[in-house]
Amino acid sequence: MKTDLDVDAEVLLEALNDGEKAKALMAERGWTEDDLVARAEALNKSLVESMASVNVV
Amino acid sequence: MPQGGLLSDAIRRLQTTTEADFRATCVDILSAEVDWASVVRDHLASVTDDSLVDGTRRIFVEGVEPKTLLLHDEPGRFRLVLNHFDKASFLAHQREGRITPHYHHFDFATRVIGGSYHHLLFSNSGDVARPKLALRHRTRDDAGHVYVLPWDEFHCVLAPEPDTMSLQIRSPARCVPNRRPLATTAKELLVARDVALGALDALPPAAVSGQVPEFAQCWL
Repeated sequence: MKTDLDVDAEVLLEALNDGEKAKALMAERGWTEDDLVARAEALNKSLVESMASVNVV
Repeated sequence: MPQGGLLSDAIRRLQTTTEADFRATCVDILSAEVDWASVVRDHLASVTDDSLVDGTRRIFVEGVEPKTLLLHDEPGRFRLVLNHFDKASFLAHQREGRITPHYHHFDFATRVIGGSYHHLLFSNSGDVARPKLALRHRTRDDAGHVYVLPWDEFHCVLAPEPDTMSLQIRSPARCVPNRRPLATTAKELLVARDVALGALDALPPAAVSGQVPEFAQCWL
């Protein structure tokens, strides 16, 4: 997974899973909730688009 | 019951369960109030090097995380596997674009026995060969979480804590993956075993009941 996100995926995922971390991240970055959601959608999109070939493990 | 007996008891139950009851039996076993990390550690430490290498070569997949170590093989029936997420290796694979949505060639039930990870599940409006994926659920799986996943469900694990471990019970193969011959050496597999043993040793004792997260209830 390669993304052009301006936030570390791990930090973003923790924030998406924890309201207090979300508030802290938004305050730190000066983001609105829409800004946070936009990053979540960008992460989802990058994951789906990262499948150069179907991967079976 | 002695710890070795717990794993033997689990294997006996799996040997006698029906296909229809397989998932429920797996979840029941993995949900037991047992310190599975300690049980797995003791078992893994007791396996001879030759046996560990011979078994693990059958399941080891290069270029992905977690690293997989075979604990028990019941050919054509089930396998018990320890998954170990090595953080440095995970991040290296992620930088190379190898951590992506995927499916497995087996159904599985798993219990996180140490650490945690973020788990993304995808709906697929295509098929396994030509998937059209959309995120349908995102969750964080913590130690004690038990879930099942059918083989053709696309999912992806991200951001594991260092040394996250899970105990996995696999069904027989549902399809045949195309694999290149394994280049990983016996010595490298034994190093992976020793690293996993160290990580298991470092986990705090925890004999707690497992919990099935909401997303997995539909597959019980």
